[in-house]
Amino acid sequence: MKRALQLFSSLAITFGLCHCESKSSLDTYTKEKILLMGNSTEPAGLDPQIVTGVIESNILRAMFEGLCLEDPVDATIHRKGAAVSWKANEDFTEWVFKLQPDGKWSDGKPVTAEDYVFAYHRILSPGFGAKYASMLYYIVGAEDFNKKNNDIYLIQNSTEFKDRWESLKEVNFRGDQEIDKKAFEAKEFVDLDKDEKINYIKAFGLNQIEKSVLSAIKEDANLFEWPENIDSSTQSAILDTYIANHGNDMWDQANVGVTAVDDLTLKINLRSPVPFLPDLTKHYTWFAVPKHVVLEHGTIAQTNTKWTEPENLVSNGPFKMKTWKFNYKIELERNPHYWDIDNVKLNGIIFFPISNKYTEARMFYNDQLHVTYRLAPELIEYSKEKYPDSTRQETYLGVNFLRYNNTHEALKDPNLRKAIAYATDSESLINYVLKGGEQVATGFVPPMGKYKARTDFSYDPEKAKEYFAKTKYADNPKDLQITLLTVDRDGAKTDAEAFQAMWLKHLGINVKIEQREWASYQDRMSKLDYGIVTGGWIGDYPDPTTFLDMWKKGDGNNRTGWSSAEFETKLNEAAVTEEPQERIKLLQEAEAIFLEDMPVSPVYWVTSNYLLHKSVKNWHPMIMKNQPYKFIDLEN
Amino acid sequence: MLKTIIERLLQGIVVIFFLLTLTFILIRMIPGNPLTDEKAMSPQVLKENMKIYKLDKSYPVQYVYYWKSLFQGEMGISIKKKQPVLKIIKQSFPVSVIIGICGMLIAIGIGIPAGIIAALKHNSLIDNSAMLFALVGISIPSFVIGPLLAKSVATNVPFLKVAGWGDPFDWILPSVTLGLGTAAYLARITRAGMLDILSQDFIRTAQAKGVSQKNIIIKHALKGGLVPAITFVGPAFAMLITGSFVVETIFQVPGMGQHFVNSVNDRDYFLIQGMVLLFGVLIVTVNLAADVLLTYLNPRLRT
Repeated sequence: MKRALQLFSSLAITFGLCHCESKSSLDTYTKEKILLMGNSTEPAGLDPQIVTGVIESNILRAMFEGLCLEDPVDATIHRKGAAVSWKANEDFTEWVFKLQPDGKWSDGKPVTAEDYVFAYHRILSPGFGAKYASMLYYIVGAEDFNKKNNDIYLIQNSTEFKDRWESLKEVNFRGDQEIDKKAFEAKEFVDLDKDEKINYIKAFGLNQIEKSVLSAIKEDANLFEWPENIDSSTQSAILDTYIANHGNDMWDQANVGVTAVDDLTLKINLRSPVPFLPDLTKHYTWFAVPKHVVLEHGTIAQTNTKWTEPENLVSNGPFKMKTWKFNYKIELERNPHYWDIDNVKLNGIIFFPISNKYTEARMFYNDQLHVTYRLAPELIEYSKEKYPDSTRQETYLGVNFLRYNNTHEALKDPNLRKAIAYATDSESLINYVLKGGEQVATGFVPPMGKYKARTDFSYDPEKAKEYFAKTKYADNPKDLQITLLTVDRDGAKTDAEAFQAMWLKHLGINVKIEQREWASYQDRMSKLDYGIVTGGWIGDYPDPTTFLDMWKKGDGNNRTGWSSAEFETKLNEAAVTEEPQERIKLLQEAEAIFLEDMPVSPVYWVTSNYLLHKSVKNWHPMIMKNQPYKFIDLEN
Repeated sequence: MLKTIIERLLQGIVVIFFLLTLTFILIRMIPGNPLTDEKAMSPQVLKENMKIYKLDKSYPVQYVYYWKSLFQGEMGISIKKKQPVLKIIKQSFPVSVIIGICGMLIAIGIGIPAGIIAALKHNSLIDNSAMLFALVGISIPSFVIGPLLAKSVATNVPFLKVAGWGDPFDWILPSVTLGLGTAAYLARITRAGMLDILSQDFIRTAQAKGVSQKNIIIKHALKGGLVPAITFVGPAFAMLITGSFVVETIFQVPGMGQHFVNSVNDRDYFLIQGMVLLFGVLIVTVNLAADVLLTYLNPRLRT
């Protein structure tokens, strides 16, 4: 082996003497002002209207620019982005954005308000299947358009049916949310037996079914449960309307509240007051896409077209695509057409999809990266000692929590949930297990801006015992059968064992740990096939609603089976409140209700640990780690 | 001979057909699907996405679609990464081939000579130390050797990086990590094969006839003694050039090994099928090549 190594080394030296600068490559890149960033894994595409993750966001924010831009220091300030100015009406329901007069795409074509209308039309198109379309539901008509609530456009607003709407309301247009739609996956309608067919149509409703199914109903009216007062001619008129319009783009009929007043003026009408709209426009779902390029490679609602191929991708931000090698690197260069290019300091950014966190740290220690995506907890102490100036530990907009199955035989009793919650010693977990400088969560929503974190909740073994005494397991804790479901990723098992030990110590209950690989874990969680799971949530935008809205009944991310009318009333009241102070107060009250019932219990607020080279300038801690790249500089 | 090859090729096609079919069924039986996501989708969005990838169709229909597109030269789209599977393979397979070939050369360069020497110096110190080395090589996994090499070698040699891809120097450490384990196996197999041959009558006859030791080894012993090693090298080569998850993630190599693991974790149906197809074709091919080579080396196999 030694000989082989020697042989290799000598071979390498012979044909590589000219190539000895690679060791000091970071200096070279620093001088050339090219930022080298670790970015976890290969992105799931680079179409701002398709992707959903932080990894993609990191790249997209360099290439595209939202209407408003983050300030690198003060999160409450909104800088000019693709918009030069913006104004809201009194109750924050109508916003007008003036676009940069010099705003251009990286191919030199101007960025127009029409590009925004096109982008919002695209992400909301029902057939497009954008997972994050709900980020735009604040816009008037957006949700109805996206959810294909065609009854509104085809029936309610049509001249033909308008006057009869009162009697037609009862028709099952939108489907029955209670029916489990998974049963119909991977089955053809024609292969179903009659009862299943009826159930299928009942589940999806007229709005969501295929043309062939609509025709089938026309043939056999018994397949659909028509309300009694609707005669057969109306029935067939409705079906004809649906068949005639099937697959049509209903954008024009939907009157979605986004208008291009002129080339540089974009008007957005919202269904409720949204004082934080400038924050939303910084999120990639609100970015514009180049209409001319997208349409060159496909239709508006077509996914996976070639417009995001590296040679086609056109963007409006400070950087543009240079090379994209799958699983290897994504290289961006300056966009000469960017409106503020003179103030962009860097010449380029290279993103490396480094999935192994130890490899990433090794690369940083060996001067191959300017910034890492994260830092493994085991390496924090070492890094603090060896690279004190580079080790960063910053608050991040996220919460980790225990999710209880509120439909579980034992856990539907809030006393048991609370007993477990109060017996969970977050501080010990943080200090002895996680070691990443996390903060003990005293509420669910992490502190952000004007929203002060709640302090209702803290570790209290005495209280835990009191609550436990109220459950039916008080006398025989050993009878309690609960499993704690976790993923098989590193660290998950140790965390779970820590929880297991705490609950055994304080409550005398013995929880069984089950580890499942990621997809099975997700699957079980969404089917409510668990007792307790460990989970986390990272905010999409700096507003408490990103942490609270998901607990509404029927929200796909709820996954606890819990719901509360009182909680939702508070949220709905907050949503229509114009006065920001009052709004915050209502959200606080909603959170208090949530914590009182404890469908989940907060454990800790997330901290981001990573390494940052001292040559990186103007990089400031940000709660969402969305440092605007245009201000960043490299200097030795 | 030609008839045998054609026969084997046809068998190979049948094998690959069953392999793909079995994979198709198995991946649909595990819980979760390619659209399983951390952030839940509304039922309607889920339905639209199922439609985009034809997952809303029944399994038999999906199966027919799969073969149809395969015959048109399309391997489908990676549902997680939104890239054509063919493009992913085109970009990552060459990388794995480079590392695989270098790794194989290292394995052969170390393993076979070590095995031969050990066999010739049977029960000597050289033999024992070579076999100890082989045992260690087999026992220490690449996720230990890799970081050790990165830490102890890369940080001290100016042109080596601890991880990363770019110039040919970056091939060295991943190849060594990949090759060492195989070298160890190869050494043991070669040694066993050589020992077996060296105890045969024809070798003794040759020795009795006064043929020089050098000639006995080169002309007589090697031909038969390497048979087990070659049988092993074929499939091992296919394994090496399809990449290694561990080596690739340790050294940040954009190869194909990661896709085998990640595609299954992601339930990325089309990518899994693509990986299985490529691996199947490779295994069939290298096995055939190894068999042809063996027939040439071993007269007893000729019919």
